[in-house]
Amino acid sequence: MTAPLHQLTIAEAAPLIERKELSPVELTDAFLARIEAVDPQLNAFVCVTPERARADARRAADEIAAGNYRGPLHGIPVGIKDIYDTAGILTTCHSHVHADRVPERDARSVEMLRDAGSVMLGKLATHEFAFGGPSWDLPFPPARNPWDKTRFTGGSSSGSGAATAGGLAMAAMGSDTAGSIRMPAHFCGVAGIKPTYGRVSRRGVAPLAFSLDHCGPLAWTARDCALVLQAVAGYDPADPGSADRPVPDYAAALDGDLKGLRIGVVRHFYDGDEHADADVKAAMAAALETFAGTGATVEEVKLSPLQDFHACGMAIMLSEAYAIHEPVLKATPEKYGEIFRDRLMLSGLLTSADYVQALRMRRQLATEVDAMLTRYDVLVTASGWSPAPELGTVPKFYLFEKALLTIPFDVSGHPAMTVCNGFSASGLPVGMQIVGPAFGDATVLRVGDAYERATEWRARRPKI
Amino acid sequence: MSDDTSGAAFEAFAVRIRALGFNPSEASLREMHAAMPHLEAMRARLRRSFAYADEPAHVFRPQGDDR
Repeated sequence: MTAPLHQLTIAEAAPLIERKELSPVELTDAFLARIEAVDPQLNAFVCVTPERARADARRAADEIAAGNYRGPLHGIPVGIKDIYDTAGILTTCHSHVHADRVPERDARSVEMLRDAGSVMLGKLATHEFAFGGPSWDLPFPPARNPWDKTRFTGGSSSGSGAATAGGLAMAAMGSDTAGSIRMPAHFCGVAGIKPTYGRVSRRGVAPLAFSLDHCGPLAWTARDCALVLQAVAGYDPADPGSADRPVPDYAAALDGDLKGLRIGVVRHFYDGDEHADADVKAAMAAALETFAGTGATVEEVKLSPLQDFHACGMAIMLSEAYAIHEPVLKATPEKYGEIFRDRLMLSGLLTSADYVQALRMRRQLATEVDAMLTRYDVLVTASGWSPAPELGTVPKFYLFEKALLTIPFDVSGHPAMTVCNGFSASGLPVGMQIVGPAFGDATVLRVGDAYERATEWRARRPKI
Repeated sequence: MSDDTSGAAFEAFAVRIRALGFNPSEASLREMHAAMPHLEAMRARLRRSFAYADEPAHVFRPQGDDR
């Protein structure tokens, strides 16, 4: 073993743990030491739970010693975005509104991670209620990008991106309503999958917008995302949006073979409707060449303009978020951060007709993406407009100002993952989205994994 | 646009926000007002020419007993 423990992937560590060549206690202690040394620079965690982590690790070690190995997450240290309820552990949603909130019960996906034998390291930074940030007037500072600590991590799963990129957790749960898993994956150079809507339970996760919220993992590789998704995917009757569909074996799909795969490139999203910067365009061009070199067919496709998807998704997200927070925002506006408060007040000017028309438009747009995915196995497009900007330069209303490249697939509900597809001249990562048919999460993971194997981007780590 | 017209537009915007039941600071109001064209641009892109029977993309399934 040559890599330091905090740079092992789950896929590398799990067999060592299974063979008792690596103790979950040793692994967890390495991550806790790493957090203690590095997190003061990154602010990825809002709450570290060392006692819980060591107890989880000890239990995992004892179970494995007794011959009861549960699977690839057994003894694996993970972090949880602080909008997920964790029984007996502070869950703030990164807001003064919930500064003292300690849930009695775990979110369903947290239960499932526990059942898989994982080790909980603590709670991770987010934007306030997964919406307001990056902000400096909240109970905790915003997370910082491990590739350059002056840079934005993306949001709202900002701590999840920082922790997985910085080697502070082997995987992290995030959530994605307009891109909050995939944007941190893009800016932080990790993999993150927004599964199909309904694939992972939202029960016990603070909602931003009910009809757009997706829960999913971020990790260093697509393969590790597959391993975590395996543990948290499944029907939950307590989530009204949950899908009662069988869960395939995601890891079994990762065969590395893309020969004959049909890839549709939605170039006009990032080079037409709006324009990504040169780093992003160059990375996309190189990625398409890589795909062609694997034997896949690569063709440009056309969907509705990106701005149509953005208008539809934003009208739904802002309306639902406003409905959720309106009473508390009116009663105690001072408890919210300024960015959350101002974005949400402005959202109050949307009308009921705007919301319903957006929902009707959503059906059209989702049908359009469905149709395209009968002709192509996956679609690919860029994840972000540029490498990470300076943290202090992110505009208060950036969500309103320019369409998000990630939001189309929250609107359509299709599985979409971001993998790192290159670096800027200054060493900052950028990412590419891979989108599959509804409940085709395994295909998305297969393409992401094959792409990572065909390139050398996973060999680069931030110097922190 | 003259300053007077801008001022009138800002006051009308402030009235709308206050009518929602909020009383933000002058600085916040000014920033929200500056962002209002972006919100209006999004609203303008929403499609509105649907047939009466075109359903929204919501799903509501009564939770009754199927037997």
